Amino acid sequence: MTKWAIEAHALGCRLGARPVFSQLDLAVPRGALVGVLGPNGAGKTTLLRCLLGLARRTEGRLEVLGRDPGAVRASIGYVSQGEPPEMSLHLSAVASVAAAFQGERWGFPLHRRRERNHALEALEAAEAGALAQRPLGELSGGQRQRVRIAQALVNAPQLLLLDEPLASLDQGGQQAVLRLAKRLCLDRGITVLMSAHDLNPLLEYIDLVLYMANGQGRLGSVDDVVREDVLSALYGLPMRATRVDGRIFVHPDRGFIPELTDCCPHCEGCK
Amino acid sequence: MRASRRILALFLFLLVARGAQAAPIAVVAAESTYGEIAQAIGGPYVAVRSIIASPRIDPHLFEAMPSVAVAVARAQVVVMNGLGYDAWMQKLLLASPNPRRQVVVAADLASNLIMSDRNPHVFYDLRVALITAARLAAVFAGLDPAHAAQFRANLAAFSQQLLPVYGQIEAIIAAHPNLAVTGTEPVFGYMLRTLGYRAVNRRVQQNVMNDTQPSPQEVVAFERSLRTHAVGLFVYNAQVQSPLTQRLTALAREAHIPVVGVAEFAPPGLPYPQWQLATLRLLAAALNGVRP
Amino acid sequence: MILGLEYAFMRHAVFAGSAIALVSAPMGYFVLLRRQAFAAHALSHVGFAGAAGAILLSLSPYLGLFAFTLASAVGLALLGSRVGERDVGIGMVLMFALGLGVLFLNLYTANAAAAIGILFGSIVGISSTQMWLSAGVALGVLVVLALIYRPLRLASLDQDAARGRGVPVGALGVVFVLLLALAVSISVPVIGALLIFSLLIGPPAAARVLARSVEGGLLLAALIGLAETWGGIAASYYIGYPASTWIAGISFLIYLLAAWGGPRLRPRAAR
Ligand SMILES: Nc1ncnc2c1ncn2[C@@H]1O[C@H](COP(=O)(O)OP(=O)(O)OP(=O)(O)O)[C@@H](O)[C@H]1O
Ligand SMILES: [Mg+2]
Repeated sequence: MTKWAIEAHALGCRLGARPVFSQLDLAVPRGALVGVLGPNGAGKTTLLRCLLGLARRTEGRLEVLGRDPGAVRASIGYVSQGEPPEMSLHLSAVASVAAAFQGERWGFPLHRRRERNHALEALEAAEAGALAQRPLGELSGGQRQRVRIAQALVNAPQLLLLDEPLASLDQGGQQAVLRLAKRLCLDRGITVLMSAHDLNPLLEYIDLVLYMANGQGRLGSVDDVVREDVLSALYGLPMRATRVDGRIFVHPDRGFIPELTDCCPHCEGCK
Repeated sequence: MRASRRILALFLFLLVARGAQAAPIAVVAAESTYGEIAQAIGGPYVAVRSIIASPRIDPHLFEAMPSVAVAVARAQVVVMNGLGYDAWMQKLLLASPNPRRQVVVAADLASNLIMSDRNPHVFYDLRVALITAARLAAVFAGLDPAHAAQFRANLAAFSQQLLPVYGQIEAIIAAHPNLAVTGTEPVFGYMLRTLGYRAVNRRVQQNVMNDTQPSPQEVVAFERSLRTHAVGLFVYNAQVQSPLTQRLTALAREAHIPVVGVAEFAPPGLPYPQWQLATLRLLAAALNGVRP
Repeated sequence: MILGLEYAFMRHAVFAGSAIALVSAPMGYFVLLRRQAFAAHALSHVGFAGAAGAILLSLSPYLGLFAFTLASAVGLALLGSRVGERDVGIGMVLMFALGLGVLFLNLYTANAAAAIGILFGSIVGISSTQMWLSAGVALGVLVVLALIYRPLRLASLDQDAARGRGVPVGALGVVFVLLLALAVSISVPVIGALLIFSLLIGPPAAARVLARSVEGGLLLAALIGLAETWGGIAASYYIGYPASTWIAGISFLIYLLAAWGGPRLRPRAAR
């Protein structure tokens, strides 16, 4: 067993004709909690799908849990971005988690008791044990998020990919999900990749940050990556990382929204 | 000893008497037209049930209920039209298989009389009615040999009653020979053939029968034939009407073309020959310019 | 004997009706999970065009019904899989098929009652051949459904999660629509295209309100479907009026009772 949960060299991926990212080097040790950050369209979702073997790697080398991605799907838990449109609100939390238990196997589940027990355990692990019997339609967005994490945990994964699990949660909810993710790393040795838009809530939990922008990405500790020189190279324009009271604000040199500043990679003024 | 012999004799007598008064033959007719024919031939020795007898029902689209299926399952004789006209009856027969039940299909008895477009309304051909009546007489005689002579006599009477119908047909032909005829549906096709009339705009009529839309050109040709008096008679199905057929009928009336409505089966209780005669009298009145 | 079972046609009605109810319930439950009611509606109506085409070619209307329904199912499967994007495809297939049906009727000069009759169905007019065919097809559909059960269940609840576990979501969707086409093809001549939802949608819709797990819903839907079928046939036999009318009426009533009573029952059940 390799030490790395994810190992990639010069990884690139394109969707259709559009290159989403390229030249990505990753080395994520097992049991790490990694925050994946970057603006909309940076390729966070695409990267997670690439790790699952759903988006095809078009260049470079990639090993997940020491194997080819796709070969280790059974050991990966995945919570996609946003609620699935297929979600059935009549079902109880435990039933919808049970449906994911060995969901790729053919045939009718003859051991329903076992399926259910695994589902209850996963709900406990996701701190949603109390919600087990309630229909999804009667849960709050944050509660549903936890049920979906339980669904990803039901097959005892070694790698957990959470795509924007903090979206539409309040601060308390975000803290709860982050604490949960951290505990899964520490107690169960699960490697967790979590994409997010705001770095600050993650700061005290994550071991590593993967910052993606402009078709590129850098993995490292927060102090190594969230630096003005690294970010400027990533974005291709002068960036600032302002630290205030232990919080970090990443923004372009002369404003917060690149489009509104007169500074861009092509104009003369910045150079 | 003597007493017991008497009892035995009484028993045998009762047995014979019961045999003589056997239950009437159970006959199910898909439409009342055939029910009337069966009744005319079988008289009191048959119990006829006609399934479609209400003039409000479109026999092409009829959904059977269990009571009907029970009657079919119990029937000794089933008489129907055929040619898909009563496809539902075919289904009921298949659903209740019974090798002893005799099925009389009018269209199959007279296959050489069927029009090339397989017009299913064969009951407007008097010959088909007579052949069906003859077949029923033979079937009844087989089931109830004791009254075979009676069935034969009834058949003879039936054919006698058709003579005035032929008389009316000859009178119409003499007064109005060689007409071109159109209509809303091909219901009256066989009688028109007997009259020596020419049916035009057949496509529109077939489309109306099958609940599909005729094309605009066909309707245009149809309307032109009415406006230009290319036709001498307009026949509509009095039982099945739609906005299209009502408009065409009104158009024919406006153009002062003789219009006559015909039914798809005999009104219950009216014997077949009288029904045909009544229809032909309506036709004659229309052709003679008498408006109903 | 009760229910007139001494008559062959009643035995055929009860047996074929039960087979159809038993296959419609689970298929309909998945139709609801997958939000494919419109596809089911379309499939039940294209059969009419097939029947019309078959009588034009002097073939059995049932042959045309099966062929057209299955062919349309392939068309539906190819024209989109995700909720929301497929309704247009279904509308196109339905439109095209019904247009052909009207053309076939237009070209047909003899009586087309057999084709039009297919839209209404006839529960008391089932031949023994048709009964065995229905039962055989129903059994086949149920066997295949059991074989693909677990992946289908997951894919129906969360496509992305299913893909993440390596479930061939697209192929499963095609197989499911083909199964649906088969189930519809045996139901239409019996209950009628216009009333097919009384067994396909009614029972699962009521079951979904009452049951909190997928398997519970399937079981309950099957029981409701059987009760409706037997109740409808019995009412039609003893009271009169077409059996399909009774079945549709009972279906609607059970759904209303479930929708009204379900939420009032549930809190107690959950406790
Ligand atoms: N199916 C697709 N075909 C072609 N391009 C796509 C497809 N899906 C996404 N893209 C493009 O790929 C790029 C990366 O998309 P991705 O969803 O990975 O971004 P993201 O970082 O997850 O963004 P967000 O924060 O908005 O979720 C975007 O520019 C997007 O337009
Ligand atoms: Mg994303």
